Amino acid sequence: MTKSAKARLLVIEDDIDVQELLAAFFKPKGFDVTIYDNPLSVLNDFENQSLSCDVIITDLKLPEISGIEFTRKLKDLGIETPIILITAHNSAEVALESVQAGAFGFVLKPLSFPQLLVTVERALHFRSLATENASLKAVVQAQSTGQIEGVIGKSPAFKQVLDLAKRVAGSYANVFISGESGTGKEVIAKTIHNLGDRKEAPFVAINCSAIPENLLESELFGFAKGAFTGALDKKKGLFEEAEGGTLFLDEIGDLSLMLQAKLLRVIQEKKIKRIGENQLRDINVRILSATHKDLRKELAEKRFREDLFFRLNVIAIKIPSLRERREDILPLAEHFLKKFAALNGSGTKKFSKEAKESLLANPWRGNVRELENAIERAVVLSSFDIIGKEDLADPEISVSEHSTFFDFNQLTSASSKLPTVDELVNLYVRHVLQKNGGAKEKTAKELSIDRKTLYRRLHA
Amino acid sequence: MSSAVDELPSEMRERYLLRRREDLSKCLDALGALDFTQLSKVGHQVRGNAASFGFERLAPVGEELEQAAAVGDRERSMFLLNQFEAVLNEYRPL
Repeated sequence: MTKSAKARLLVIEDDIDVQELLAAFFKPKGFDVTIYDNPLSVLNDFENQSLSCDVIITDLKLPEISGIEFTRKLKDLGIETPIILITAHNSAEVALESVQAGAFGFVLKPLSFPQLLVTVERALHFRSLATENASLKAVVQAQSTGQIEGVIGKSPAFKQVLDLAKRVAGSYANVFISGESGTGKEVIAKTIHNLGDRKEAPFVAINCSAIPENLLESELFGFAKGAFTGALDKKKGLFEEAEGGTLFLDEIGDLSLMLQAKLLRVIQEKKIKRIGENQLRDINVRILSATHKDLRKELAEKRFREDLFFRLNVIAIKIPSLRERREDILPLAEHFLKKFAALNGSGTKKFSKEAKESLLANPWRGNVRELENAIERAVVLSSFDIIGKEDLADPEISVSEHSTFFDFNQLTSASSKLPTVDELVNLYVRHVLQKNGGAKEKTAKELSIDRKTLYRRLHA
Repeated sequence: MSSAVDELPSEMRERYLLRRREDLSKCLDALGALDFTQLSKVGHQVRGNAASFGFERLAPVGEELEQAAAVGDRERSMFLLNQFEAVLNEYRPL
């Protein structure tokens, strides 16, 4: 919780006078106070993800279930919000039972408001420390285990990939990685790099399909000063940038035949020549490449050079789709949930049972990337501690199904209502997202907006 | 405690006394029907909340009422309801 945000206090009390008293005391002190008179409704609303708060004050003697039983049930749901019990029963047994049930504090009636306020403030401090602790733990755990982003999976299919990646990491052989979009080809490439002798040297990645051909050539090989209009100074290419390390050429299936020939020469001679220069420079770079295309088909249709294919494809690794490793869906989802909850400072979050079922039932055609995006969206948009099935629904999936092309003449024709500037901005955001193949981070960066604004525009 | 009570809007304290008069009437009806649940509930609440509104003398009456109701003591309950009314009148005569 940030300092500017109001602390959310939930009061469970069936005595209307005490309800009013607590509201009258805490509201002027800047608290956002919500009142319930029935603990079962609170449990129900927590389960339905329609309730979230920072501290709970509950009476001990309540209708349906006691405050202690309520505390136990809330903890069973995995909700870690601190609970302060208030009671007129001044007994050591009750106090002990409350603490054993997981209550944060215990305040006697008649209420001493200074004492209650101190207890609530301590509970808020405790909650913020617990959130911070969880975030740091996740970071430290990831660092100490050498865990690499997204390399999570115990399925036999994925274990096979990891075993192969470990075995090839120590060699200098070129590795060709194939797999559907979003399966984590770059993650595996990075794993190979990090597990090998070259891990201290740079890992440089480039997506060959994202850059126009003439620009790609200068990106890969660099250029001399004055080599072409705009070459105001000399520039190293990515082969030189990756010296001693690894160059990962993603979507190599989209490389033009001209650049394929140049790449083949570099691999054979282990030398590069910057554009506009005659000098050959030695390079020591391991090449890992990947594509989602069927390169055998590209070879048959003469769109990819056979000699280059065999040079790159010394060792082939095929990453299974998420559909082929369904047992990895939940561990991956839990990993992304921790990661994004920590990034957003939104405390510990959990999936509801229905959300888990929905995650397992989804075909995940966009593979791990789609899963990651879905979890990030759910964390950003949900204000509750439990992520529900509805939080995982993907309203912008239709972006790829509907064209975002719009004609201004048609939009401004007399018969149609003029769109507002806001509506046009939303259309534009969807259009750019579609152009970027659903990559939200890239889209937000290109549009110079933050992720929250992006989500708001997509959901508008 | 007293400073917190001083901060309370006077209408809240007025409303509190008014609700206790309603409780008293309900309790008398309940006692006529030998229903001690209502008496126990009112006794418990008053025991816990009266002092928070600055009505300290009402709290022990609530506590005793809760105890008498727990054992189904009709005479003691009647006596305590009379005392309850007397304390209410001390704070705000009808």
